[in-house]
Amino acid sequence: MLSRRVLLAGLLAVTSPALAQDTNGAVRFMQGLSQQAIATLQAANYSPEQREQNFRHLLAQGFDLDFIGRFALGRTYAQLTAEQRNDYAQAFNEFVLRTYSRRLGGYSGERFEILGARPAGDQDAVVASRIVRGGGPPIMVDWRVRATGGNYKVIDVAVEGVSMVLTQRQDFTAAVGSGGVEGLIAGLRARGDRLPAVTR
Amino acid sequence: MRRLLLVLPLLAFAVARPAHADFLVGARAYQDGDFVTAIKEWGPLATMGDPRAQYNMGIMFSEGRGVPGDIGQARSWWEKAAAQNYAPALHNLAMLHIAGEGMPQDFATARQLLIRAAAQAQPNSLYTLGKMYAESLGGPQDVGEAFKMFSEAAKFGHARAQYNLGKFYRDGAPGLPPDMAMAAQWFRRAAEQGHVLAQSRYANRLALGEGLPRDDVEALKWAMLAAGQGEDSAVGNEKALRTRMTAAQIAEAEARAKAFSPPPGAPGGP
Repeated sequence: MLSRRVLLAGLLAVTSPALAQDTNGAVRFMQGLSQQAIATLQAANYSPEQREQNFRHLLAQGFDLDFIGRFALGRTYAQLTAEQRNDYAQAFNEFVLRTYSRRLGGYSGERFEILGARPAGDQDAVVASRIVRGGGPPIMVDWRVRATGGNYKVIDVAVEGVSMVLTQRQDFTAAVGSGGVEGLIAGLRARGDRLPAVTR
Repeated sequence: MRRLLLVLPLLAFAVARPAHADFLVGARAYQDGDFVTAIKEWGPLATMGDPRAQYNMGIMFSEGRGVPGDIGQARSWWEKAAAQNYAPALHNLAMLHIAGEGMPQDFATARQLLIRAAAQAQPNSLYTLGKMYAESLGGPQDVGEAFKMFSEAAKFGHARAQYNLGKFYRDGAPGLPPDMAMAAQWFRRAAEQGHVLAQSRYANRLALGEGLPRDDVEALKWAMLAAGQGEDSAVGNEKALRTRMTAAQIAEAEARAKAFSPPPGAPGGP
């Protein structure tokens, strides 16, 4: 019993600094990601489409889209055929990339500040940040970051305390209830399948 | 009277000419990221009924460019252009109905809009309509129509349509016996555009010699490309190929995979 307690204490002693270390790593990762994002958004001599394309690339690297997609579908994911999983993953990734690169691709002049980080769960860190805008009050954004295979990836974004993946999970559950999995996939795909502006 | 006759065409020219120029001025501003100028040029044209300008105003509102994002306004502009049967507006309006953005999901209306856009050979509309026929969305399943839509979109170079057409030929359908040669050809076309699943399927055809002569070097190249982009179905094929190939063949396949880059901006690209 004693030996177990000693072992536990030893483990804690080893784990706690490691966790603190992880939080620092997560902060550095978010600093890097946000700096790259801002550089991409402010790059001159790019059309909106090119900027969107570059931004998408950055998101695809910085976010664990497979994980987020599986989580968003919840229990339904287990019932999908291999073909449907492929369709879903493709449609979901596209959906997230377009939604966010569109939403953020048009922004300019905002300031991004990292406020700090705290451990979350067994393996994650939540990096708190705020986006300071000229017009309105700052927007508080929490980034849940997980280290997998030596790489940090964002697995959730909470804007003003509202989790993106939880919101998506609710929306997706409702969509599967009304139109089935094919309906959900078609809906996701449709958001990404809009045509761009005509310039000729 | 004679003077009036002379003046009239000039007047018409004066009215039509700036209208044309304004659209392009707006287009250039848009491409430079100057959305406010783009809206200043396109807005009046849209109000005058120019379907291209109406369509683009819909884009500005749907993307929140130069104006706060407003999907209701986007829909309203696209509906105006769609009333003039403008294909891109019909398409984007259909996408709103399918996604249920700013309205409840409505597959039946979307199908009708896409039928009108597809009749104008809009590749993305042909593809989505094919999917709706194949998956009984917005109306009964119609495999024959789905095949027709994918075929037409595939000919325009739509990668996802090419992949779906490849599957049609591989698996066959009522009235359409499997045709491995056609399947391999369409998987190849999509694979060359960077469609990851098609790369994996094409690698399978090459490794098996199904529908084309067996070619391990090409098979490994495509399997590597697909597996490298996270396509699990290609991993087994890659492993199997590596064990039966010579070091020189593997090196050749690796060099070819490294040299591959898909052409940018193809319709229906992955």
